[in-house]
Amino acid sequence: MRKRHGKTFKVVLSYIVLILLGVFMCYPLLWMFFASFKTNAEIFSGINLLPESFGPEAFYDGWKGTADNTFTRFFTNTFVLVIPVTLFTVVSSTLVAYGFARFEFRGKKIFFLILLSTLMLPNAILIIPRYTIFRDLGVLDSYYPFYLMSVFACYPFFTYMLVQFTRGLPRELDESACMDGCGTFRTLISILLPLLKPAMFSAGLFQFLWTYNDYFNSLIYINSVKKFTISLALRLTLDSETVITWKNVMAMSCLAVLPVVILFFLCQKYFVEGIATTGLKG
Amino acid sequence: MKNRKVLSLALCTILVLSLLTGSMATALGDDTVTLRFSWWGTDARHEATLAVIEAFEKQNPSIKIEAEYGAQDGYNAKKTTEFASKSAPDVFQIETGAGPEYYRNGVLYNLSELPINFDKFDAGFLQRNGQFGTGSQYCIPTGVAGSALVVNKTLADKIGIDMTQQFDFDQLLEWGKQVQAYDPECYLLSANTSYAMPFFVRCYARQLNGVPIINDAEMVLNMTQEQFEQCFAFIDQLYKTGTCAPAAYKEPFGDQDNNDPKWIEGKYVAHVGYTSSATVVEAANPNVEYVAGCLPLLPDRKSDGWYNDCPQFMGIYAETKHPQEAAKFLDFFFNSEEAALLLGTVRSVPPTAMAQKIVTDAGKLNQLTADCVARSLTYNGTTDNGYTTNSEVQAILNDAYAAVSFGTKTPADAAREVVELINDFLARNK
Repeated sequence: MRKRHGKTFKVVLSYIVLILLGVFMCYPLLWMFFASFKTNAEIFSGINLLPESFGPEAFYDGWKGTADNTFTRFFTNTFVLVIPVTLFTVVSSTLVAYGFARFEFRGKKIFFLILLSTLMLPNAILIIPRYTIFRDLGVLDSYYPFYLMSVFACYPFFTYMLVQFTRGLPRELDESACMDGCGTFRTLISILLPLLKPAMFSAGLFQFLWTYNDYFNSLIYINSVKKFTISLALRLTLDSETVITWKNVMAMSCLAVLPVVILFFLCQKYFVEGIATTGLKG
Repeated sequence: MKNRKVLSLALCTILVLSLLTGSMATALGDDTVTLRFSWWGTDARHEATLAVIEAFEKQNPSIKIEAEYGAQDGYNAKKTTEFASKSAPDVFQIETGAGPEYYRNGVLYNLSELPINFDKFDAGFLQRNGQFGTGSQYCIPTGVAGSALVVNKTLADKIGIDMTQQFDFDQLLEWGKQVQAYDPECYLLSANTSYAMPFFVRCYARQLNGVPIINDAEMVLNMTQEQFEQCFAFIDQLYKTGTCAPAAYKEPFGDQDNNDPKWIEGKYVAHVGYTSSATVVEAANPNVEYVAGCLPLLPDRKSDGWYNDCPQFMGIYAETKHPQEAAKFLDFFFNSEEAALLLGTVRSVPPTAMAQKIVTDAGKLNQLTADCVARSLTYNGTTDNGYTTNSEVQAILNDAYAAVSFGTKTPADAAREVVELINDFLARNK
């Protein structure tokens, strides 16, 4: 009897701790959500979490955006940018990773070293040569810089992750496929891809999240407001010479995090699986 | 089996196609000239400017204007990147202080060579704003603006302070103490570093010597270390007497006094800012009455220091491929009655008498802004645009202001450091 009581107490205690931690971690998001209903004066001078009244006007007004550029356009732009980038990254990184993991070729070590060294370089350094290259190609102020980088597997982190994962798959599988008459490409498609699925999923998810949240690259490559993504659009109205209606900004921020939150919950299984099986931390 | 083959083929095709369309997109084109025009500002400014673009495009169907707009934060940095990579827009708005630097870097087109009509502008105003001593127009001033003290008259009257009569700098300290005695929660001045530094350092310097901090022709400091120390000692007093709200309290709000709860609750007597920020702070707390205050003067000054210039410039990129079309647009922007009416006061009080009349007749002129501009016109100072407003020098002065206001450096130390750093900057740029 006492033992069961002790167990219940432990469970209750751990739930209380978990709930407190959960509230603590979700507080900024909750605050952002409730701030969508507050006036500027309430946001800056009140300490209450709950607003004085609830009303959807911040969502309507915020959605209108600036002039003829509404958030419908900004959301569409974001998906037109993010979805192809995610798909291209997964495909190209898998191909490159397959090459490094399974084939012997001249200069393989050097190439792999170069790949790894680009992983170490901070983005702030890479952006200058990249910007000049894209300028010379005449593709600035479009989504091509993003597409091109993903088509050519310019994200060494994902390539490296997939190389490590592919190395963990037994070579005997490739050999038996070869004996059954599979070519190298067929081996990748039919034998390795199904096994690579968790790693590809986590690469895709990471890339989706990072590109969706990315502010810096969008700021550098995109100039026209009609091509702005969500991250740029949210900054659009924050000018020092204006009274910022913060609830509109907060309302749009709430909507902006929704796709990411939904995606995370839908793909949570793959996300965790992918991270666990690639031995990736963080 | 077959399906897989189709899938792999499709993937390869997507890869190749995406590359092909990339290069094709740049190869295609027609006779329409596309200009890029960038500016920063408020929603109202964006909407008005887009309306002007639309009106211009209607009159000139062969010219398309690509709008690039956003907030001021990071605008100058982005322009600098674009100049370095030769990818700047054809027409762009320019921060007043950055104008001379852009001119020296050769990124501005000589507008006097282009078909833009300047007859509607006051010649003296044009000469002071955008010619940089060359006699040729490199930038066009977008409006009339200056420093301002926006006074919460309701609170000032309660305490018994009248800032609409001329006063000197030391008077501010006396009033500061009076406000603190009235209510320790209240302060005389709402001052943030980026607005207060030009107010209390650059203008103080202009009043002391009658000239800017840096002598651009000889590349030497006009201001001595002792004078800097005197100026910083005054700033030190502003914070020690509680005349200005504590720097650590103001810091999180940046230059947005309108987000400060104390401003919203009406606990400041005055906002240290510009004619362009008057409507912003007015809207943040509309429950009280505001007036345009006088600006402080030194008793033994060589000049009033306070001057009237413009909130921004407009310019054309030196490397533009379409200077004629860009000039046509700016001519429409500044000279057409339609544009003047559409723009209203989104870039402060308009720069031409014609536009000012149109705006006043249409009832679009905000009274407080107009009063602040009128007040700043009563002083005889001259602009210090040049090396004094260079971004690096601004950063040195801002750091010194912050250090003194936070109390982390004594006025003597800050003065010594500023002189060292500016001399180092001047030696590098000689």
